Amino acid sequence: MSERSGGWLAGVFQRRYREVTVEAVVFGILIGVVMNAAITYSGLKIGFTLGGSAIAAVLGWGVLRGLLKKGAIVENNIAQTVGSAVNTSNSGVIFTVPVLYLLGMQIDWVWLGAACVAGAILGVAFIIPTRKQMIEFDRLRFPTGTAVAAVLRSPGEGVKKAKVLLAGIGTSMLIYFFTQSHMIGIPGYEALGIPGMDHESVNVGSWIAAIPGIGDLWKPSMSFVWYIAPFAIGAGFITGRPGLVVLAGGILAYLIITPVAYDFGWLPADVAEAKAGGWTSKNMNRPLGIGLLMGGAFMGLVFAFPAIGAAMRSMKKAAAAGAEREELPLGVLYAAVPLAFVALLLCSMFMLEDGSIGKAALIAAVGTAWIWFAGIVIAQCTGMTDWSPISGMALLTVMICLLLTGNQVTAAVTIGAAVCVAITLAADMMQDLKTGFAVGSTPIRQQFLEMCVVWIGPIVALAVVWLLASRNLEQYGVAFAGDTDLPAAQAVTLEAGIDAIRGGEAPYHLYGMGAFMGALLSLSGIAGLGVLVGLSMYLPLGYLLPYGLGCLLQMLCKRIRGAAWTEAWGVPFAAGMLVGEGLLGVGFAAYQVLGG
Amino acid sequence: MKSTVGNLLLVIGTVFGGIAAANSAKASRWLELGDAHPGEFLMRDVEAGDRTLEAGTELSGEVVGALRAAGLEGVEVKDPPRESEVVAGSDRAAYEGRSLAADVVVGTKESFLKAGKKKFDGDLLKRLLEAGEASVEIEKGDARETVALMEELDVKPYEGYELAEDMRIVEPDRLKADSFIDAERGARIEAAGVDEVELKITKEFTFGGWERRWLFAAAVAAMVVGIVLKRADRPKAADVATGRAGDAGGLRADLVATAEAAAKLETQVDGLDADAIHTALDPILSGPIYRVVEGRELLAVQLGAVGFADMMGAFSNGERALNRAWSAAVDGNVEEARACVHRAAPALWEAAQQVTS
Repeated sequence: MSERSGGWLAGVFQRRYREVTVEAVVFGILIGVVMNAAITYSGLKIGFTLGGSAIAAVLGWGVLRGLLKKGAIVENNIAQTVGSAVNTSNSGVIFTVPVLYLLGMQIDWVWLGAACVAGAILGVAFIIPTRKQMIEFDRLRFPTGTAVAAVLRSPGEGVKKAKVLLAGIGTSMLIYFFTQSHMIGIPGYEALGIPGMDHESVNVGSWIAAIPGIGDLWKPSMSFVWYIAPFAIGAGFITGRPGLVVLAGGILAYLIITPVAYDFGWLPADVAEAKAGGWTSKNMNRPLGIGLLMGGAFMGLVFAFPAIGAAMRSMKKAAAAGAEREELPLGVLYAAVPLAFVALLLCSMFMLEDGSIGKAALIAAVGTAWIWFAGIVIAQCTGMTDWSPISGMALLTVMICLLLTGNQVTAAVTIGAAVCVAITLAADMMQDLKTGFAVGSTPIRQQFLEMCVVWIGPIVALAVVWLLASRNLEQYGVAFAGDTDLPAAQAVTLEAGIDAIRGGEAPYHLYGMGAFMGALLSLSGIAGLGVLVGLSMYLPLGYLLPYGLGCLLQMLCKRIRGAAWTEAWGVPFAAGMLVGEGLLGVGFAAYQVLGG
Repeated sequence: MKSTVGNLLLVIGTVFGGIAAANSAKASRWLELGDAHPGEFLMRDVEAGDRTLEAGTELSGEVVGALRAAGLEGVEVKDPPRESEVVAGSDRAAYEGRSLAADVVVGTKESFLKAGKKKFDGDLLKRLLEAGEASVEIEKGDARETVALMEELDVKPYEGYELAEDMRIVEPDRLKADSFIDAERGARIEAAGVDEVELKITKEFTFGGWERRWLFAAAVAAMVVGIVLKRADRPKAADVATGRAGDAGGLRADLVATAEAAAKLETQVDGLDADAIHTALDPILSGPIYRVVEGRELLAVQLGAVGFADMMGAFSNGERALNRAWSAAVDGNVEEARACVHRAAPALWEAAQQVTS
């Protein structure tokens, strides 16, 4: 059957080149479910989640190519797209849902599940029209997507490049291993006895302070802790020069604003100088950073409208010309939006204490619009740097919903969960599409499959959260935190944020000032400047420093060996660095799940 | 030049704007001294002649007098003056809808402490004492000890020890500091019959109270000027950013070279096997096509948003088709590889025509 006569759906299942196959889809779903369950558990335990694309890609090679002897490059891309689509929603769930337990709220799992599934579908649907703009026009790097592409392309890149990739993976694993080895009883970096070094970070500031003559100039309020994070060096290397702005924003927040605020006496008198960074981060830099991020993203979006419009016109033109369809039809988006709106409306009506239809409609409308905007923001951040400020967006979302609902927490957190699931999936979709571009996959096939399986992830993550909470309630009397083995650190942070908002402590003025500055920065014509500066003021400097080092190394490499050499040999090594830590991280997560 | 100055102004504006914005969250404010300021408290220690007035000292008439005598006309005072206030536990209306400044015990609860998961440290000792436990079984590897609990017990020698047996204890149930008191929590506090509740007092932002607002305005002005200069100089900046100043035709040449290479391959591809296609694609994908991607910003400026989108759309379709041809060739699927090359070549020509026409 020809694709034209069978419509775009027939095109998805073309057979001339192995791409969408039963094996790829089944493998993707299975690995996605396993990773989702494991990472949901470990995320509640260790406070952060791990991306699944690289793991799915590596395992995909093993299963599809190694065991089944038939995996093609683009088929593996499909398997990895499905796997990460099923896995990724866990961070959206574990950053938000446990808050309902912590605050002692009643949870209606059916409506909560409906909201998260609606969010998942909306997140993927909304990002479809921006693929061309972000990946083809702006050429955002999406370091993880680039790294996964390097893994998928490795069989055709020759033995030398495969060795370089493996060397990157090995180096990364070796470096990262000793940050986690204490879990299995092997001494880590702390055993080296180097001053200022613990198992996962090095306080370089303490070294500078110890240098005679120079040390006196170094202020204890200046944080200069480096996390031992090879993935960050790899991501920075893949990003290159544009990523340096991220380092600049971190320097502004931690090495300029913090010491100035301390020296000028803007902090409470009982905050010690060495603790100044923590206080300014919470009360000044992070709110300002979130504002910059949002203002920058908004202005960036306004500037991107012509390109998005052109991309949509190009999609329509290609469809009208009878060319093979490469993107999901916009009709899917037009259908997904009202359906998801209705789901959010019903959820809001059920969750609101007064069941007001007007208020529920307002929340659903704002939630839907926010998913669109926040999804683009997160996808942009991920595309430019590989970092995504999910926790900040969760707090902003809940804050907006609390304002709309008059501080009704259950409704606000439910919509917050839907938004968080949506934005994580939006970013994941773009990472996978970036990989797909590099290996020549057809976007429509990735998009279609992601739409088909995206509902599975939130249900798995919610089921795991429910199971763990039920076990803990029976054993400990509380679901998370307290004496349980699941501190749910991100949810505890969100709980504190919710209490602060309800107590009238939200720093709206800093959000506003930040947004104004972020919008101005984005007017400068430097792509994503406001977003990058805001993001870096929000993130811990400890990760920004190795990331910035990676950017500098790439620039140095380009200068010494040229751009083509850097792309051909440096990027595969950096991709290995990025992937290696992820692989080992999942290994340690599995160890924890198994009772380590 | 304009762009360099614009960049500099943007950096200066961002740094000083950030500092000025941070100032709006400062925990103190400057107070011009009058006669007396009851309800205002010194932010930090102040030397007033031969005495030191400690942080937190209230500005009574006597204190203000001492400060004036030391030649001071103003001091930093806490903002808000107090971080908390205490209200009666029976006055539910006074605390509901506000946040706790200190823990409140609202009853007791049973807690489960799991053996092997709970470290024996100072916090656990305190909890066990509050729960009225007299001793605890702890272990570290093969070493197991029964420890008699007392307030002055030094837990340092027991570093690394964990509970040896599961325990169920009954301990105070606390609402933690910083918790917001909603109706449910308010009811629990009221029902617990506590004497006092300590509540947080939060600082409210006022534009007039923001000392560095003029610095923020100046920073914004610098940023605006920087933006104007940068945008006025944008084409040149794009040249510099892409390393192609004075070589605008170079990008077109690269694009045409890419299209020609793809067209040449298209004429040969039906006679090539998968390995040969793979080998032929490598130089195309790592050569001029990469330089076009690197230099796209210059093309965006020259073609405008719509023209750039049309060109880049066609170019990307061609590039992706070549990538697919490469993957198919590596996978040994020669038919797909050929079909993709046939698809890529016209797309790349279309892109080349857009920049040459």
